[in-house]
Amino acid sequence: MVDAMALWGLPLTGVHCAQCGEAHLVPEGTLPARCPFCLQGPVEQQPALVPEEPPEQVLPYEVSGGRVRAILERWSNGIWLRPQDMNADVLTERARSYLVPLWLVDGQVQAAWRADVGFDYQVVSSQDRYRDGDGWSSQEVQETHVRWEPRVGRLDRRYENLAAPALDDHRKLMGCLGEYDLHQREGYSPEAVGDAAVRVPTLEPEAAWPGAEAAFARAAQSECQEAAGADHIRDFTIDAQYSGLNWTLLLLPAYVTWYEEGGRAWPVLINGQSGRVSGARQASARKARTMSLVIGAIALLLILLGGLLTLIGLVFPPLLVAGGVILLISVLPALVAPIPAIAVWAFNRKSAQKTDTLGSAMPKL
Amino acid sequence: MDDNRPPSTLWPPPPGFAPVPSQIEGIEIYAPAPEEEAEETRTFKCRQCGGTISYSATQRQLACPYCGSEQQIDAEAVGRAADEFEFTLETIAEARRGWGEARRELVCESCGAVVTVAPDALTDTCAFCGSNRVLARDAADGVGSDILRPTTLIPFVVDKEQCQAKVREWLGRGWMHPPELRSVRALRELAGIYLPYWTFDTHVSADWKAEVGTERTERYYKDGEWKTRTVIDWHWRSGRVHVPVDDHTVPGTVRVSRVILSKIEPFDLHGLVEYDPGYLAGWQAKTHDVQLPEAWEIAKEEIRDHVKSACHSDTGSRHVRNMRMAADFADERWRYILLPIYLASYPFDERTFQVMVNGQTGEVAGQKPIAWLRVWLAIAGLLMPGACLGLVGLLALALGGIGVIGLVLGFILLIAGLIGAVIIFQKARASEEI
Repeated sequence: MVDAMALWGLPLTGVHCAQCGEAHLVPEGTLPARCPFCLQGPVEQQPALVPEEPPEQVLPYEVSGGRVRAILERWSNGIWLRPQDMNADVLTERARSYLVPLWLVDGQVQAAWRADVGFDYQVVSSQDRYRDGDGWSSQEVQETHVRWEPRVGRLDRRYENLAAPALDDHRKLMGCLGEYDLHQREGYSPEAVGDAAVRVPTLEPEAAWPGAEAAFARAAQSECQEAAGADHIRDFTIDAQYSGLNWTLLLLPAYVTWYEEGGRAWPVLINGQSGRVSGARQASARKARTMSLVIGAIALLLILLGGLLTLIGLVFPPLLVAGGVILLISVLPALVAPIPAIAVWAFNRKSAQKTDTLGSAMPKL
Repeated sequence: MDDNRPPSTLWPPPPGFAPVPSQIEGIEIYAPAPEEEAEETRTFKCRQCGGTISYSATQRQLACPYCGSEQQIDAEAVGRAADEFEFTLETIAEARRGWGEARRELVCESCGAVVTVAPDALTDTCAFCGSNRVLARDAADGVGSDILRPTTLIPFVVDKEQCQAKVREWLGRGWMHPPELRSVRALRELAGIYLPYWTFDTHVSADWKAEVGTERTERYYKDGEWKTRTVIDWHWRSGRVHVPVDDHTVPGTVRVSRVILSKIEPFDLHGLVEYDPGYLAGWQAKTHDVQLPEAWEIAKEEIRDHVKSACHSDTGSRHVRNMRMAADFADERWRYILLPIYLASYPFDERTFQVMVNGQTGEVAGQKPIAWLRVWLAIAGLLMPGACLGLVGLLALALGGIGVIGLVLGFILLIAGLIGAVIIFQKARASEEI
């Protein structure tokens, strides 16, 4: 059994979600009722999930307290028929610190490379105008073209702190959370974790190597472009050998909160550094249905009243006109009645699709 | 850099690559090595007898006129795919200079033309105006030279003997010229000369907007009867045309008559070969006196006319007014080339007339004196029948109504004669024009 207190400086325990399968570390004695990530599945305590090595670095929270509330208020405002549960106070109260693991890799790269590098240059071109009576007028314009030239070379460089995924769903999660500025990172301290839920890495360094290799290639490509003094680079190919690899685990700050609508919990993720929010913004289908029903009922009442007056009008003609007018007026609410229900259905569908495209790390509940 | 690493498919660099400076330590960069710029100024002497050799239009290689030995020129035929340059200051600055061989410049004090000739050429006459007030000096060569070196040229295909025959045949052609032209003895020697030309490529996309008229026939009632008339309905229309321009040529000199030059064009640019000084051995070459920007303005003027025509065609109607166009020139490229022509002049009746021959196709054009007596007689002959018949008709009218027919026929013949007379007169005038 791993002694979390000794390694992490905190009394942490591991929990595993039966629904989404993800593992988290949470402070001992605060076992959540639902999975901190998918907010759906029941969690089961598994102390063995606590990693033997704690993270070496953390990225501190830049967004906290009042700013989280302001961000959530801005995010939840402007929705027609907003659910009761979706308001800044509720969302802020439920917001929980959430730490996402990321590998940082250092290493020496010796490689042969080949690429096409592009150099910008200016050409003089013309844009001419013609008008009957005035003839032609010409304007000289400068256009930027790119001259591509082949380059090959060798590289012997050391790269440090290149980001590599520590989670299977890293890309999707980053799609929701956006970019982090890794220069702000600090050494690990138990205070930096506090009562946050910490996602347990699913990729060990061996499994994370393809991502790290791609990061090395990107760094090398960028440096080769700079070394060649070029403005662009394309078709970069590298044949590299790596040595002196060093892996460091970094925790990225985030918040997870949620609101209920339509019998479901809708999660909301916030980047703890930039404040970027990601989540499906759902309108209240129940409110929309109620509004449609009320308008429909008004329409029905008007139709009944108009019909009644029209029938009486057959005996007492002056009421015939009033009955006709009321029947005519009833057409308007009858037409408007389905609009709230249809509009909210369409909005919710579009919002859910958009969230799926953006990020789909959001748990499917 | 560790050289004991396992072999890589990316290493070593391909042949022809050389190291270039790197802005980051630990990164080596190799790029295609630039072509060797240094070249020796060449002279053209026969390897067998030491005599001066020249390019032979018939043998298509260098030939010695003394011992008959031949030397091949190693230049690639490139045709219309020859290298082109974009409009950047760098390309003009980096363009190669000089002729690549020792040449002498002849400066005509009379017309100001500058041509270059082989160092031992005996020419002392200006090929453009026939004047012998010519100054000779060494032509500057290499990087310091102002002379832009052509990238390609079309070598002479027609030789001087063939040209002489073609010119004599051309001189004897046509009834409106003096018969003595057939036996002109004083035709000065034909000077084979490479003329500078600029060629331009571009792609023009033009948006147009105009009022376009469509014809409609309508019936209307007037003076108690129904009549028909054509009316035009005007509507605003717009469209876009794409005009690709490939190898639009502009002469690089103003020393030759543009009128005569246009008559011996076109040149077949598929015959372009890479520039090699060997092609100039024994021939004159004219340096350009129209600079690239001026030539491009001339070309643009002509291209705009094409674009305007294309826009008018795109309207699909012959009734167009208030035309507006916005033409965007893209991918403008240029080349500086040499094209072969023969120049000659001959004196006749105390005047000097110019002749030009296309050195590639043998097309002849030039000035020819007019036997005006013949022309006037021909005009009189055309007008006479109508005038006579009209007079006869007039006399017959005094005798009776039958004269009207003669009068009408005479009038028709007179009109036809007048049209023919104007055509003949215009043709005769054009024949003497430069």
